[in-house]
Amino acid sequence: MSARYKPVGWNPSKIAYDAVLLVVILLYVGMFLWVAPRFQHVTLPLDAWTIRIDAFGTCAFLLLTLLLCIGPLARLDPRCLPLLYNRRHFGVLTCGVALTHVYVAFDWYFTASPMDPYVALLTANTSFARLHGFPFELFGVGALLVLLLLASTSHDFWLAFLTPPLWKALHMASYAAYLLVVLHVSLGALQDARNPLLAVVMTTSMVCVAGLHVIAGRRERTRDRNTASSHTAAPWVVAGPVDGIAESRAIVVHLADGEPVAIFRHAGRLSAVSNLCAHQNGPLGEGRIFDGCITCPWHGYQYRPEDGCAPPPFTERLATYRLRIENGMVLLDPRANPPGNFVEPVSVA
Amino acid sequence: MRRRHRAMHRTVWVILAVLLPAILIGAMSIRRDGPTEAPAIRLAAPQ
Repeated sequence: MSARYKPVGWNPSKIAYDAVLLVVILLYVGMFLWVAPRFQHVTLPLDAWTIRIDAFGTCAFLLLTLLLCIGPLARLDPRCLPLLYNRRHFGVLTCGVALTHVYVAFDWYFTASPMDPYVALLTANTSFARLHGFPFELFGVGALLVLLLLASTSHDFWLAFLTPPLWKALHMASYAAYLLVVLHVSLGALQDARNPLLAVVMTTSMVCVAGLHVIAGRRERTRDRNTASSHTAAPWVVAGPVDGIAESRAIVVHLADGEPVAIFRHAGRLSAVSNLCAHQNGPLGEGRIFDGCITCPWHGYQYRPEDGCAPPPFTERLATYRLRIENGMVLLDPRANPPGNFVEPVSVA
Repeated sequence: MRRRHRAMHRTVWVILAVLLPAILIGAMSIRRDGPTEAPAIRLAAPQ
């Protein structure tokens, strides 16, 4: 949850998350720089620049892989939700490592060229007509530009300014960045790799990233279909039996227009709000009630069940819905109330 | 407001699940075999 202006809210969890991430990155790069020289080809030793380029390049690729796995992992297994909590910091650090890779490569690439390095990067190789020798660097440039755009708009200010749907759509460009990185590596480093390790790493990365997304997508589609079929005639829709809602938990109902509504049970009473968190459209119905407030499973934004308002001094509000109970079944009025509108919770007893 | 991005996620990743392996297999198939450290052009010995 957040107040009107949203500075970065540092807390012990975020600091620990970032510290662990930084230590892992430093260990990886340090080990790479220390171990790689010991496995060099005797007759053709790698120079220090190449090792540094590989160290930061592979680190950025692995970080991007992990970054893209967090979303589907959190959807498939709630135990992975803590990884989602600080994912934006993860993304910014990934961009930082990618920038370091570019800085090291750029320094080495055109050292002996009389041309301006930026001009040389874009004009030195024009073999666009053939795959072998294709200017793979341009894919890397494209990926870096996308990562820079995403990192620079990762602050809550941009989330509020662009609104969650647009911000989410913009940040789906991370998939394009991954595609560009795969092209960059496939037509670049992979062409000159002398052992199969890089190909194995890339295959594993693709299987994990694409496989997890496809599996999570299929599971969500099945769940959406099941919940959509649980309600019937208008104007009130049957949400399900009262006993089907556990204390401090919710069920999610999809209305005819696709709008998802979360019905929470708390202290023996039922309340219904929009299932979409005002922060990033997180699935509120997959969260639970803490301290009397609905708590988003993604980033911990909180709302009161009865009026959909975040507790003061925070300002987010959700649409609310009317409920009633008949013959042990929960009925939902599909007409949404304005965000923040109080609706008397329905007693289960 | 619906979660339209969920359907878009699914479509994008079904496409990528096909496209990414195709890129990797294609890249592996155009790799040159043999020692890469050999010079691409051999200069003739001076007469």
